[in-house]
Amino acid sequence: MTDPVLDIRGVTKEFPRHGALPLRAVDNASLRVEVGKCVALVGESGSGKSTLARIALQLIKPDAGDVLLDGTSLSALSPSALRVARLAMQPVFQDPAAAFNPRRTVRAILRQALAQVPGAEISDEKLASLLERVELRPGADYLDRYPHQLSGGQRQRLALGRAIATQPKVIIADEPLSGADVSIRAQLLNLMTALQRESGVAYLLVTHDMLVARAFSDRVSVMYRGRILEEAPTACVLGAPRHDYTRALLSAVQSLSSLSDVSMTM
Amino acid sequence: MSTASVPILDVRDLDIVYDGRGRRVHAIQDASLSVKAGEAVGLAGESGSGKSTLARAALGLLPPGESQITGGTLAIAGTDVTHYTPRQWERVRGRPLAIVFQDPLSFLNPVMRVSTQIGESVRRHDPAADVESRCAELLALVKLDANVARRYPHELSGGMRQRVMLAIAIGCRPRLLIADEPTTALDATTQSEILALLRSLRTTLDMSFLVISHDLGLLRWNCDRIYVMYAGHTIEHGRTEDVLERPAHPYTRGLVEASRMRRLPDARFATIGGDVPDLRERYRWCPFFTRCTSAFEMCRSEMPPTYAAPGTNHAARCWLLRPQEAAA
Repeated sequence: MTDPVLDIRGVTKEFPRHGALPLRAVDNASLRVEVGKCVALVGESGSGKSTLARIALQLIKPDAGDVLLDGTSLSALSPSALRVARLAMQPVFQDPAAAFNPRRTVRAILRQALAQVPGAEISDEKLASLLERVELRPGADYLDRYPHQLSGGQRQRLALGRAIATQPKVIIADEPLSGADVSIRAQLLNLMTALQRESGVAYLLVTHDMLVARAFSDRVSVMYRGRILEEAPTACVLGAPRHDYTRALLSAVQSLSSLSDVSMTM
Repeated sequence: MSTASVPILDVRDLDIVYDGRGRRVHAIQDASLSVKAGEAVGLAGESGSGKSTLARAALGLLPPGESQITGGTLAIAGTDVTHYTPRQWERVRGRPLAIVFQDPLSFLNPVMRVSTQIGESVRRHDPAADVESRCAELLALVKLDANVARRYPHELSGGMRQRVMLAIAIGCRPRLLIADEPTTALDATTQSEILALLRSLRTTLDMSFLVISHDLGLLRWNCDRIYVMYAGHTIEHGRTEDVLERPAHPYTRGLVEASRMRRLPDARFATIGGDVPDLRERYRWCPFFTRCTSAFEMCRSEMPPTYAAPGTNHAARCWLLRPQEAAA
């Protein structure tokens, strides 16, 4: 087993509730993403998967547990050291329209991302080449556009372009394909595969869609009520689920989203 | 003519134009579709294909002033409603047609109890109805607890809200229920519950369904027939198995492949290349021409008519299906 690039260890997070016991959104959850691999974190709304992703991104501070990025514990870092360490871990969110400042051009959005990297070269050529890596070609044509002037698929490409600007080791993507049409979904998966191959970036892919998990991930973690119920290579989880909840999730997917020759077995 | 043989919804060669903010968009171009009594019909397509516009047109819900039917006809239960006024539409809506939308929260009134909202729908079409007992009956039909009647929409889960929407929609006993992406916003397990409910309602209430979705898998399990839309055109239709297992139009074939989300031998996922069509154009040729790998000269000069495809009542608008003798 190689070293994990992202190592979430026994993380717990409770949210206070008015007039009720606190809600334990994440309960002693652990998860490892190895270098260059993809782990799918699956579960239904309210299972805690987005909270866990936000804890990994250090957007939410956990009550207990720790997150290690490339072997370094993030909880022990000073704010300035955390800022540098975090460059190795970039988010991509579900709604790319909400992920960008609508008053900034594509140029300004990417400049801001690159400006975080110490000593990074920031030129229009560099920005255009970044756009071309995410298949927005010719890149220079997109620099003066605003997010609303891009299609949904193009915005998600821009989100990936911004994510790879800091040369991250892991991208944490929360439902990145949920709003996309089927043909766009496949294009984005191809792009994510290409980026993985080029740069060796790993993915933590948060999704409620078992078909996406099956298509793209090496391993699957199933989350239910804040806990990780089951964690195994994708083929094992989908082919021989060990937990009743996983079985229920799979049979629901099978009964709705499978086309004739699609069975969940790999 | 007996009512059984007249389609509940019959759309023929329909053209709809949106005219807003200086942009003229041909959202529906020469689209045809029919739903007969007792049928469950699926309408598949990607964003911008026109499927929701077609559904709204069928209910007279197009934004007035900004949209216009510029060609073709729209008939409901044999009555031509193509140029109905909003007042005329008021009498049609609900009965015989009703619709449920993707996002129930934005269509339910947040400050009214569930019982009041169901009651409104019931009373509107039957002023003499015993609202309370009818409301209880409807909640039971959509498999909700009777005490949901006293609750407000925000107190309900997404799946429960969609059930309330269904109760409101069937409250006026429609002959055709249009469901526009009815489960897109829901979790997989809730989705399958709602779909099972739709299937059971279809048999208990003797309704027809028009289910609109981008998800071919969902349509596969819930529809007898499917129409596929692309760039405002209905480019293929037929029995569900025929369309999904023997897609005749190259676009449908691409859509089916992309939906499978399986890696090809070169480890890539099948996609449909090229850009989405520009609906400022009123296509007089095949709108899929620029993206089609089988396209030839004829495809860019003329829109093909509807040709028969393998299977029962399966047809598609593609020159590749032109019978050989006609080509000679």
